[in-house]
Amino acid sequence: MNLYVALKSVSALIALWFFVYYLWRDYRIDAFREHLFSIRDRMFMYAAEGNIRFDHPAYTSTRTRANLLIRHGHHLTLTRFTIVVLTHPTPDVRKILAEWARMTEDLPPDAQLKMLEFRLCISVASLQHMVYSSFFRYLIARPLTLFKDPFKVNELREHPTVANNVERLECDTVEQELPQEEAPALV
Amino acid sequence: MATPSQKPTRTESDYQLSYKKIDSVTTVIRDIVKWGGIGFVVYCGYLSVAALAGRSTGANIFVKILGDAKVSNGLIALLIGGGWVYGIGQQYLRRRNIQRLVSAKNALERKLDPNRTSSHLTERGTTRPGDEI
Repeated sequence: MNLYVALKSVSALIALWFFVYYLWRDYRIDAFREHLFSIRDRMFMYAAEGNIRFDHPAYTSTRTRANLLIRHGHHLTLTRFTIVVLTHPTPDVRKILAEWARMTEDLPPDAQLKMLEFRLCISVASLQHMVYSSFFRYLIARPLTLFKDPFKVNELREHPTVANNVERLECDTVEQELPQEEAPALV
Repeated sequence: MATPSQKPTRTESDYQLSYKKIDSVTTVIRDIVKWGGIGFVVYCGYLSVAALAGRSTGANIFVKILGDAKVSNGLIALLIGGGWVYGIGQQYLRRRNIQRLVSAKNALERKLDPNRTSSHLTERGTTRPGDEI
């Protein structure tokens, strides 16, 4: 075999390995954090405009969830998510929905909808991160989203059961990696 | 007649234990694929050079490689390398920009919400060293 071709292939494979395991991974984590920061900032501005109190349980719980995902997002992978789905009991969606309804019952209807939208945006960001964190998965999934994009808030809004399952399981996944004292904060 | 023993209810710790067991196995498999892959590639590179052992000197190999390289390949390498440098440079600038802007933004937000909570990332928006593992 031509030595030049062999060495060129070896260096290309080493470069690809470095790209896939380090550069792509770092890039996706940064992109995920940027996505969550933008949601958190929008929610902050919504509260700053007087639509919801900064100490309202719906605001604080959503912000805490965003903060913990920003901090521990590098632990959120599709493999770990799948393991949680396999090892943990299916979340009781009715209970979660009832809890959220109780938490937001004192808010005006448009604020309730807006806060739900922020929660859905976080779920969408998490799902997107889990799928796109692998370069090869990205190469397959990204072109498909041009025809049918599952990462849309409107799509999830029509499927509250899916959205709440994702949220609960995503919280469980990150919770597994949290220090003991921080785990209860993720609600 | 003895009554059949009831299956004990699984607790949160049981779920966590099951999770940790499977996660440990998948982490080991992932590391084997990652480091085994690069090890195999380096080994292939070694074999291709070793095939010339005794027949060519290091300088001969280097000259042969340069001689075989074509201008079009050089351009491709330049483009790819340029893309990497550009991407890494952009990342560096973005993180420096975060460091510059975020402290002022956080101070302003704290005026509106004194109990403002934080994500606890570093000043440059990267993972805190203690959170990496």
